[in-house]
Amino acid sequence: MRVSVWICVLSLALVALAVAVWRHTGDAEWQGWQRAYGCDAPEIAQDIVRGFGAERVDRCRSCHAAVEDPAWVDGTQPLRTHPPIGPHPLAEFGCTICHGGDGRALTTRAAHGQDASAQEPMLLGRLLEANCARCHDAPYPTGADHLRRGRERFEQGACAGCHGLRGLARGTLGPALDEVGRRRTLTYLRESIVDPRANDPSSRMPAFAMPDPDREDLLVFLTSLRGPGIHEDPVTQRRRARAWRDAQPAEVAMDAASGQRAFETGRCVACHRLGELDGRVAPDLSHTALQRAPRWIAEHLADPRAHVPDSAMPSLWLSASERAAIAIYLETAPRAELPASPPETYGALCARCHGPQGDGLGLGAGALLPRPRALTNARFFNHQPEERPIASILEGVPGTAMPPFEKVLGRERAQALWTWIRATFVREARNPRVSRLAAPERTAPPPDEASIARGADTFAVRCVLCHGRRGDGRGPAALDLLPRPRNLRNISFLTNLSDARLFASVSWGIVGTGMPPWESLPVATRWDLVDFVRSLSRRP
Amino acid sequence: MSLPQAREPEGGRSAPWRELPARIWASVFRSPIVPRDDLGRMQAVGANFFFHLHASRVQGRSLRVATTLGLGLATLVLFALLCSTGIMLMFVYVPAPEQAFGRMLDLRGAVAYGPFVRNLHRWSAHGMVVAAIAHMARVFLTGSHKKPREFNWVVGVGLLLLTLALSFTGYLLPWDQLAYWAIVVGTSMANYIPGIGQDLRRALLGDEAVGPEALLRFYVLHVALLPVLTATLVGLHLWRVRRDGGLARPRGEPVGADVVLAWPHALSRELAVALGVLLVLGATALAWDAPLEPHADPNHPPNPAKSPWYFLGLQELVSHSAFVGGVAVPAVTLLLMLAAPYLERSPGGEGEWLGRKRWLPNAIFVAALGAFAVLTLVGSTLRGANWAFVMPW
Repeated sequence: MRVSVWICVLSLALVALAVAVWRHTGDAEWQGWQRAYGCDAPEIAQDIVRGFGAERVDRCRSCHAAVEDPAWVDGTQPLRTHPPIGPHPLAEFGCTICHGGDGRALTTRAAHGQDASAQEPMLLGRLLEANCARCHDAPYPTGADHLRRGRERFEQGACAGCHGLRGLARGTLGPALDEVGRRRTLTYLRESIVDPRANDPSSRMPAFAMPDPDREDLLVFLTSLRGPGIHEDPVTQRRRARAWRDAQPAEVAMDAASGQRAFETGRCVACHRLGELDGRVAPDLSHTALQRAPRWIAEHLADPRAHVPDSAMPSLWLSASERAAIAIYLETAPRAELPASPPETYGALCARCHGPQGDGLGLGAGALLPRPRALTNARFFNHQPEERPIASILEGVPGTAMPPFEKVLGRERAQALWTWIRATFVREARNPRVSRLAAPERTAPPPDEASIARGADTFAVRCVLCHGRRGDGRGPAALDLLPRPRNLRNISFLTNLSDARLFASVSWGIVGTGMPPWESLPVATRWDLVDFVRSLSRRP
Repeated sequence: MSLPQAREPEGGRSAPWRELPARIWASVFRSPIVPRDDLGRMQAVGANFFFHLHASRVQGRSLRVATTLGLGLATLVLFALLCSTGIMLMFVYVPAPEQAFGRMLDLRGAVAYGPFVRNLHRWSAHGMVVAAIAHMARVFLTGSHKKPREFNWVVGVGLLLLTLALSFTGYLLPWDQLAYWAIVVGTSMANYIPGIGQDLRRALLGDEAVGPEALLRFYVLHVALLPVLTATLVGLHLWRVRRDGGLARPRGEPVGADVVLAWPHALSRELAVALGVLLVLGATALAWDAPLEPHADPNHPPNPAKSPWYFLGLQELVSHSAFVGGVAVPAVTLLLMLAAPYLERSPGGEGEWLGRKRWLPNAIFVAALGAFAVLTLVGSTLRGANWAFVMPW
């Protein structure tokens, strides 16, 4: 084709393109709405709001032209009169300070925060109340009822145990929530409450049972958390932050009454159970008086990992006297009568952790480590000495959540309970031909630095896949195993084990778990391993 | 060269005002607007500042589509388009972190034709990088960089680097997440340059991190220094094309056998290319909006954070080995590019596509270009969170 024809065709196409661009730009959404409102010469309406943090340019009235026109009370959005807002005149406050969204934008998608460039979403319905907290401290103004209830729900729940939030919560186990409303979407927050592992598979947050309306109110409160409010000047912010940081928990009288108060303000029953109150996440405290010494309780409150190294319980912000008072209160708290029959006893004492089906999947099982033993693991129980489960019931298992039940049940009822569990859950009878090898006497020379070093070398080759490099039971394969590999740094647990039993576990494995027998290793090497494992849990 | 004279006034002193338009015309244009004979046509080219980079007569084969594919001219048109749209954007833009992003939002909503001009600028910038690389490939694969055009190739390499620098500095200006983190990643690759890397990065950013100083520096580079350098080098580049006797010709082809006048043959084809480029870019800008992500947030890196697409190949290499991707490959590539016309000394293959005598250099070049394309594709489409390999769907 001749070049001149090409030039003609391309020129015509360019003219057509220019017309298309002109038309595309010309029929803007907001112009249509202004014409519908009865304005013949549409122009962009713009409220420039200064004095509330960063300058805001709100062009919302370019579409919502009728917000101040009382004739449009029955109009449909965007042409509708704004409900009365009393002390918030539009000219002074603009729109986005309350509604959110992108005030500069002039298309619905962008202005309502549905665009890729959106800074903050437009808040609708009850969520709109979250923006009240931009200027208003708690107690929030009337009308912001969902926000107020959400805050109450936060205060009454166990949130403060793990999460941090300036002025409200001092937890350190979970993420701080000071800016969670800005950083996370509503969907993410809702998912994280309903199923904490939906977004973060490594989350240890329990799934709290919460009625839907409560959760939605809590979400309004969480959405309102966007860091320091615009009503706080930097000096006030610093002053409040410092006061919050420097505050000390109050010392109280050492009696049951102040213990009960601390127990309630500490929100222990948001996870634990005591009598009728039940957080359905952590162990039952109803019988603690007969199971734990006051000193143990006070130490556990000060550092939950002192006695149970893998405990998920947060260290609560309590003074020493509060901790002691809580121990006193738990010693004196009223206790319910125990039922007589073994099945009912199991339901009252054991099912919470070991599960109603005895499968180790009780209410609190997910938060406990080591996990409650699956009583249906017949191979495990049939290869253990028969007296050991009863000993565990009577004396508890140190270093785990299993408390001693000797004073609660007494020997006969414990024996009867185990007999019932054996018949109901373990079921399989012992094979009389399987005789457990007796744990041998130590044949190797006594442990020294050299044997520990040799043991460490063997450990690094044979054991780290499950027990982890640090021996804390968190090796790369650990999450594939149930029961989980033992944390070999668990001092409380290891102290109770004899060298002979460690040697037996290494040599012949633990049937019913992932621990294989290492009989193929020379006897001396196995003793080196025992020495190394011992060295991991030596008291400093 | 004799200049066409303004017509002699017919009536002497009788009507000086009547001859005024003709005199003004003649003072501006030294030839009639539509020359009527070949001499006039040659003068039209030679006497016009904007046309004089052409010879007044050009080789007929230079004008055939297959010879150049119009790529160099397309790059030049894109540069002009970028300059004009860029100046329009400058009327709205403020190079300060508090304002930059808000101005982007204004541009998107409240400025007449703002989205179109921004889209046009954005897509032209990507287009110019593509066109410059394609033009370079054309020149190499037709052997047009060989003697006596070696230095013009070096100038061309400089122009390619300037094009990348212009695109890279412009990338930061919207101050959204995309811009911010692409520049953070891109400039962090400078750290791998031994010796001067850290200082270079600091000089570019004016700070240890990408912040207000970096925005201002990138802005000044983007709108003042780099465009002026580019325009100067473009002038040199085009001037040398003419000085070196127009486009490269196959050896032994008789000179003067196939000569046509630049006016109208070359100019009309150039006009067609320019119109075509405008049409493609205009349609692209109308159909697709330039990306705009939320306001830059130094505390929240996206995962993965990716540099601009033309550096993704390097980023991919850096993910395997910082030395290979950050130092070895760019340095060797740049040196080879600069030295190519001097290394390739044996004559032959000039002006012909994929000349048989030049199979080895061509093979190396195609392989390098292919590797660049593959690495860029891998980096852009097959890399997900934590730079892990993902499928694009």
